Parts: sequence; C-alpha cells; structure tokens
Amino acid sequence: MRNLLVFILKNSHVFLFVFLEILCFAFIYQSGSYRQWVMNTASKEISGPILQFRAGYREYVHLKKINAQLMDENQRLIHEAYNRTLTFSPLYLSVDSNRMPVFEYIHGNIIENTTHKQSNYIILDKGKNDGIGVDMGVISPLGIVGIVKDVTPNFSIVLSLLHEDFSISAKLKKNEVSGILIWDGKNHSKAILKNISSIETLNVGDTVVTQHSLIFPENYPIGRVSSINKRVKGGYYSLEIQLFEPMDRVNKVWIIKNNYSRELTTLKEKVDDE
Amino acid sequence: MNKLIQGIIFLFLLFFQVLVSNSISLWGIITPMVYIMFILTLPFQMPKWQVVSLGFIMGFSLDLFTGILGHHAAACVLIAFLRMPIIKLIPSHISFEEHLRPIFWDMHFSWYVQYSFYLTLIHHVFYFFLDSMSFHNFFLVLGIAFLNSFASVLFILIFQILFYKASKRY
Repeated sequence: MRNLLVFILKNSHVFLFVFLEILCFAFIYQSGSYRQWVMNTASKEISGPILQFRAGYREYVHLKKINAQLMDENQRLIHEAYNRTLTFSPLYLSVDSNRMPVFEYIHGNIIENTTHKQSNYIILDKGKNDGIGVDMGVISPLGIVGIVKDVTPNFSIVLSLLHEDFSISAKLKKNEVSGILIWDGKNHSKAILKNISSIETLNVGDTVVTQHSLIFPENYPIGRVSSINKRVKGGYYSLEIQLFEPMDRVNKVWIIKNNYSRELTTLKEKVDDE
Repeated sequence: MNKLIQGIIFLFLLFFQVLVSNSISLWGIITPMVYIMFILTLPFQMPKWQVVSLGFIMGFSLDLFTGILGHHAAACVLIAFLRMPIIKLIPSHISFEEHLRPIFWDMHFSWYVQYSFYLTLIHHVFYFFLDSMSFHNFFLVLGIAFLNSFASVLFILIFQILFYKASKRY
C-alpha cells in the first residue's frame, strides 16, 4: 500500500497528463451537447469583447476596401431594384398581403475566422438577443459563408463552408442541374459540387447558385465551375467550384432568418408521423 | 518575482496569440502559434506536474477564443508532458547547470532549434489531426502542420532573440 502511494506520488505528472487529456477529449467529443453549450456560452461571453475589439481594429484598417465593396453591392441592388420584372412566384406575391416575408436578413460582423484547419468555425458578434437561432444561413455580399451551429446571448458560432460536415444543395444557374456542395478540405478557395448527372452539358465557368431551402434563399451566388472531374464512376461527375467569396478575407455578413421554418418543419413532422 | 514574470509572459503570449497571431493568415494556411513558447521556456527545474498543469491552463485559455473547446488544451498538455523526455533525447555538449533556462541565449543554437522544432512539430501535428478527426487528407494535413511549425519556430526564435537575455550565474 505504501509502495503504491509512493509510486503514485512519484509519477503524479503521468496521471495528471492522462487525466487532462481525457478531459480535453471529453470536451471535444461533447461538442453539441448541453454541457458544451454552457461552457461555450460562458467562454464566448468572456472572450467575445476581446475578439470584438480585434475585429473593430481590423475593420478600421480595411475600411477603404469595405466601402468599395458596399458601393459595388449598392450598385448591383439598385440595378436589380429598378430593372425588376414581375415574377409570379408565391414568394413575391406574399409581399402585398400582411404576411411576413419568408427571409429576414440580420447584419453581423465576423470576429473570429480560420481557414487553415479541416474543421473551421466562424464566430459572429450577433447572438440570441439579436434574433439569431441555430440552423440559420450566413451569407456575405459575394457568396455563402456557413450555417449557425450554436448561439449564446450575444455571440454565435458558425459552421464554416470550410468544414467537413458542411453540405447544402446547390445547382448550376444555367440548366438547373442540382448537386450537393461540400468541401474536401484541400483548398480554402475551392468547394466541390458532387452528384452531378453526367448526361448534362457542363462547361467550365458556369455559375453555381443555391437551391431553395429552409436555410438559404434561391439563386444566391456561390461560385464558378473551375474544373470538371469526369473520372468519377457511377454516372455522376463532381465539379470543382471556385468560390466568389475569399473565405480568408470575409468580414461583413448577413444572417438569414426564415420566418416559416418552424411552421414548415412541424408540418413535415406531422406528415412523416402519419 | 519569478512567478510574476511568468504570469506576465503568460498573459502577453495569450493576448499576442489572440490579437495578432490568430489574425495572420498567410495564403490562408499559415497561422503561427507563438503561445507554445510559454511551455518551451519554463525552467528545467520546475516540477513536472506543474508544467503539465500550466500547459493545460495555457491551452484552455486559448481555446476560449476559438470555436471548440479542448483542441489547444489537448495539444499543449501533450507537449508539456513530452518536454522532459525530449530534452533528454537531444544530445548536448554542455551539462545543464543550475542557472540555465531553456531559452535561446542560454543554449547552443542547434540544440535550441532542435528542441523548439520537435516540440512545435508534435504540438502542430497533434493539433491539426485532432481538428480534422480523420486521416482523410493525411498528407495535406501533415504538410500544413509542417509549414505552420516552420512559421511558429521562426516566430519563437525571433521573439526570444528580441525579448530575452542570457541568464546570469548566481
């Protein structure tokens, strides 16, 4: 017994090491659980203001570029607004009644972002108090950025487009051919559009846009086809997409709130139950 | 006094990492991790359990500023634990005298570069594979870990050349 005690005391650092590693792995594997959420809430409320300070400084440094981007965007929006042709889709018809619009946009700033890892996360300076919820889409003026994974009262963590678990449905603008957009972890400026039927005519340079879903509005730009991989078996091609948005430089974003998402999901569940 | 200085180094490196180093994104892949210098420069005589605990505290503090808790902490605890074995592994011509610390000016150039590079590499490889959670892009992740290690070691050496000086004999 005495020997055991001496042994433990002599090798205390080994036990401590094993214990701490287990603790760390428990943290990593529990991401998404309630306990991790509590930890995340606490940690982001502490670290958030410091990250915000850094983001503020960075924003000031890049002010000229951000202004230019805003001008470009305004120009595009003005162009669209004044040249709009009437579209008789239920989306636009709902505007004149007193129904809520389908998508609402909340603006936010990125305060922490990585691109060099395989699982990248983004932290935004808007949270539950600003109406952000889990599973909302995040877009930038040029393309899509990610999906909200977790919210705290004042901050939110976003699953970046550059994450192995990220996948949404996207389509080619030209002929409405749809596929699944994923990231293969190789290049932070390229994504993969897989499950594209090989009977379609595909060209390098085709624009890829989002498909209508609960998360993203339809026809929001994502990128441009940069190469076509025809070696894939099973009658499906996978395309390499050059993203419009440089993910390492993205700064201002919009969080998309779908006002009908709860209604639609409950309806779906009801149908599934029957 | 010594503890106070360690505390100041801790805070300085933590905030340098969060405010400056984490915003560096060279070609979108290189983000040097300078904060592990804190573990590298802890005195030789410090009890091992203390080094491991300090490694955990450092890693966990940095984890608070990034997306998911646990990644930096796990990698830091690993190198804090492996520090002594690596020090013994690298052949050195001088005996470790009482007053020497594992900093650039106290040790031989080649010894110190080896020491910091091995530990940094272990940290980075572990960190990046922990983050990817698979061996899907094995060589790519390994390559990124190597590139980041070179950058980190460079930063660590520059830091020590600028801000440290050789310890005096008592």
